[in-house]
Amino acid sequence: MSRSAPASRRTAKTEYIETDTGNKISRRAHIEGKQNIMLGGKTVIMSGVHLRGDLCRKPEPAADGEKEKTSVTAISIGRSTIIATNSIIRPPNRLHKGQMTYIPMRIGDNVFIGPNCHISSASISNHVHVGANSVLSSLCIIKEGSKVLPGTVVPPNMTIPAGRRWWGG
Amino acid sequence: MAIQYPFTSYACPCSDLTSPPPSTVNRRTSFHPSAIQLDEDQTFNPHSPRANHALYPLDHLLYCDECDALRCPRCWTEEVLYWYCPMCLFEVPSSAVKGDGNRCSRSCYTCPSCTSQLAVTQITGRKEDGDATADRDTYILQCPYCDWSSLEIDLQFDRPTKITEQISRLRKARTTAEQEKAAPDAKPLLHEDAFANLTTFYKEQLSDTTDPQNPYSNSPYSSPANLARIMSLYGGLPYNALKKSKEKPQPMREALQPSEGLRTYTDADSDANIIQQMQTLGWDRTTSAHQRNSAPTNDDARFTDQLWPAAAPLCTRRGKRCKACRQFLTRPEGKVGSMKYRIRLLAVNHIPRLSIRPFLPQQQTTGAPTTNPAFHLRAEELPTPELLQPYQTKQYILTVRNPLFESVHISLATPATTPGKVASRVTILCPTFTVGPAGELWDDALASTSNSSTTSGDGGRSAAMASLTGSMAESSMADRQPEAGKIWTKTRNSTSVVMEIVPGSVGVGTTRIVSGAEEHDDTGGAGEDEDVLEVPVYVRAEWEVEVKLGESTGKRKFDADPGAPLRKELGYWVVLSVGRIAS
Ligand SMILES: [Zn+2]
Ligand SMILES: [Zn+2]
Ligand SMILES: [Zn+2]
Ligand SMILES: [Zn+2]
Repeated sequence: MSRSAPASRRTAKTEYIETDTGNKISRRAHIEGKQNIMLGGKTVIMSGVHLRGDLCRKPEPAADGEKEKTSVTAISIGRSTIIATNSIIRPPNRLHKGQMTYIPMRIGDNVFIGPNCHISSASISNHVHVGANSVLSSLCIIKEGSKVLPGTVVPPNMTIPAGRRWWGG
Repeated sequence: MAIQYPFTSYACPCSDLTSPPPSTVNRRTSFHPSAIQLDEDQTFNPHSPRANHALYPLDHLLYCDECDALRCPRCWTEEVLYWYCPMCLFEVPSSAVKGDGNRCSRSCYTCPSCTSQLAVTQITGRKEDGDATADRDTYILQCPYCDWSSLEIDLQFDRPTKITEQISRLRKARTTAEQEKAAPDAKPLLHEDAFANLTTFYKEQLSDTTDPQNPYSNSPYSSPANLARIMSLYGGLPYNALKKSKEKPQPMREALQPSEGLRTYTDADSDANIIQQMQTLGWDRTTSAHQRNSAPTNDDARFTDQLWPAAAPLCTRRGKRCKACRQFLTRPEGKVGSMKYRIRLLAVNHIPRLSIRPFLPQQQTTGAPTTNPAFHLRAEELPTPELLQPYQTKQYILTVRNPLFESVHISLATPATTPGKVASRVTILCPTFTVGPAGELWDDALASTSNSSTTSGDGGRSAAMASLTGSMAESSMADRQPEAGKIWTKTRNSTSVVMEIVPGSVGVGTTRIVSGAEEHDDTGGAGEDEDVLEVPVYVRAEWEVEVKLGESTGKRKFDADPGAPLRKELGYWVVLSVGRIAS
């Protein structure tokens, strides 16, 4: 993730840092594992958001003292997506061959994730709206254009088909 | 979330509050000014108890371009285009739905306890079982949410695939074993078997009564009743034949035996027994109605240890048809997961849209925070709604936005005083005007981005647009006063006019309610939202369509010759909900 210097130094405008591709990231967002996060452009990360890019599949042990590959994508977020205040984006993990591995998370374009959500989905397609205070459990898949109403718990492994409204929990 | 004023809603013409439902024939040929006149004569009353059933936000409405009318959920029919499983996202052909029922026959199962998706989990044989079974893997269905697993009903699978087959085999084996255990006279019939027996029984009954093996099935004498009537006309029929023909319309009988599907009360699970079990197992292990309804296999389950995994119910994708002319109003693409539409006639794209906002001097609009609730993340951030003060004139900007590619002549009509208990005075300063044509999407985008740097907010943008078109200078906007007969602002495809509203007093109504509580009750709570200022506006839009030769002439019949522009006219009621009046 590349960050350019903030465009203006005016005090009222420094809540957000803007990148070359127009991503706006709040200074009060908690971002870990920057190198493992991809933002598509014009995406907004609001204050208090936790992006856990550090939770990624551990790269293969480097052979013969070579330099380790560090560019593993843990979270990729598309264009014009908004992640509202205090949401936690945490890549899902799964027991694979006796080892706990993290699975990269993909969030599409034009996605809105409301405030205070906990997101551990495997993938969220384009144009998805997630209401406030929702919990998207580990490895669930939200298909294109769906709407998760506020306060919904989506159970693990669940698939929400395209264009559906989902609520409850 | 609380309602945010002001907002607009649109009346569907199917309601008798607006006009008689449009019939296919006369709407298709031409417009009847008399019918529209009738609409204008009777004012739409938004406070009528039935008004809520006719009013919709514009986004919820469709538009039939064949009938040239708005369509609401009451005047379209839905049609299933295809079935699909929400878990594996496979399409299920309609023949399979008819044959196997509306549940997925792949390995898609939901938790009978909490309805979330079950996962096939591998378990290795227990160590204490000895070496013989230790290396044999078995599989179970497990709920990742509530930890229910098929082990609770002692269900294990040999293979991770073809779960449906394995479940039905195991269930059959188990139920037959149970039935053999039970006393032969009190043998409970399973739902599935009872249903199968019943269907075969009824099919036999139907074929017995409707198909009398008539060799003259195509003749007018095909029905036995007809035959009997004709025979009696000509007199003389052997007694036996007469008796037989009289017997024909005998009523269908019902199932009498378990083999025919009869299911009677059995003593197998005596009430005392069940109550005893409920006492020992407790509430948590008793099934809820929702759990019992999760699948046909769980209909009789009284305790959670009798619940079977429920096959995933299928979902449908539906198209919507106009009830009057049967054409598709929306028709999604026939592919699971695709959100594209082949046909989508949204009202938003076909009729001019009205919006209303309080009139504020220019300097206030630029700096004021947005009041659109869509831009607020949390409910508590919303500004508290401002109450309207009775008898204080307030000005509003009424904007008409045109989605059509032709410029439209608009006439707005509104009653001088609003209907309902609270009479407010309404004046639209400029009721007739034209709205320019809509352009391509990128036209709007270009227009808005090129000006957004100078001023923000909608008022600023329209002012900038106005300055671009040269109609007025931006500097003169600040101290402009609304004038009668003049439009306020104009952009390429929207025109704004000023509306003056003098809210009436709610006090008159409330004193009446207090003095005679019974009288208030008689009206069935009609006074509930009487303090909301709602302005019905009749919008009449007229425009001309260039009809190209050979295009749509087959679909439409009109009197004018094909080369001449076709004059179109559309009238509809819009209700502007302005706000609550302070009492
Ligand atoms: Zn209707
Ligand atoms: Zn399925
Ligand atoms: Zn469960
Ligand atoms: Zn129609």
